[in-house]
Amino acid sequence: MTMSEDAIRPNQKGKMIYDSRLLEDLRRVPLYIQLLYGINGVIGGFFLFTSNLFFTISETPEPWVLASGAISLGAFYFASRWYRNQFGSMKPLQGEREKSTRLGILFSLSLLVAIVLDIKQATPISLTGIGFVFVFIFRYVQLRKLSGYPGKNNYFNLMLIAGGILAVLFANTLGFSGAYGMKNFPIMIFGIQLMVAGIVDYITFLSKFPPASDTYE
Amino acid sequence: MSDREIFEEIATLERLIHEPARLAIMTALSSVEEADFLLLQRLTGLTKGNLSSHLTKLENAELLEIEKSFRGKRTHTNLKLTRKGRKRIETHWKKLDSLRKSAGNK
Repeated sequence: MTMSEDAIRPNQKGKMIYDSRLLEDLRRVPLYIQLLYGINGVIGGFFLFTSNLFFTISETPEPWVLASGAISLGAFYFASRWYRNQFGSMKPLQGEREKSTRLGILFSLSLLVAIVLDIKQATPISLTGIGFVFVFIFRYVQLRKLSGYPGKNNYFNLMLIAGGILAVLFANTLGFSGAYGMKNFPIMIFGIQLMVAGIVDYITFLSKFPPASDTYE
Repeated sequence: MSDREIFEEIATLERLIHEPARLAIMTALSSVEEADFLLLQRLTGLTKGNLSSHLTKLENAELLEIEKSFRGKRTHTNLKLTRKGRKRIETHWKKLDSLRKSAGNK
């Protein structure tokens, strides 16, 4: 999980020594930080998704639905607290926060339009699907800016395009069917978006850092 | 860049920042607005005492700010780069990158 064992493991005298790979890894610390943002996204997204799933599958809020939602939200609180106690906490850079705010506004607007218009029609649901594409592009540009990675014509680009297309198809199909009431569907989509963004960061991180056994001597 | 120029450039590198643990600390802090002690400890793999000593050195050089508060009964240490610190780590990485580039072209 941490890069310490791989990247800056102290030697027997407790001092750290340089080699070219160490420098490479230190240069990637910002990418590692980006991974932590990603993990936060996965945890947040997962619970946002599950807590709303319970509300979405039932037309009338039955007691078990409300209880499940509350349990899921409670689990989110404890998972966040556990994460903070295990891995520490940080505040993203001002610029990062602004970007997130802009993204948040974009989603809020698309959700608002989806709610104001008829939720069962395809168009507003497409908006949330398009939101998916925005997330992919946003993460892609962000990661590329941070590390000069990924390069052109690799699997990441393909994933980006495929993810966007699938998201729009998925959102449209479910939206057309009007299944399960779809009350909290846009919020669920947002949860999935956060999860996907986190997973994308994680995959990028894994492909960028050496495996744990490949340590410094 | 000639060999001589490369060595001259190396000589200008700041020792205070260039020490690996401190470079890791400064680089990590440059990617965030602020972070807590635990995060840096996890990231660098340093012991509490060792990390604390590096942080004090950086604080004395006015490169970072240390803020202590209480969360319940526990002390919570928050760390933040000063403007000077942010500028210095940025310049340091620019120098390192240019050195690596020059060395790579040989």
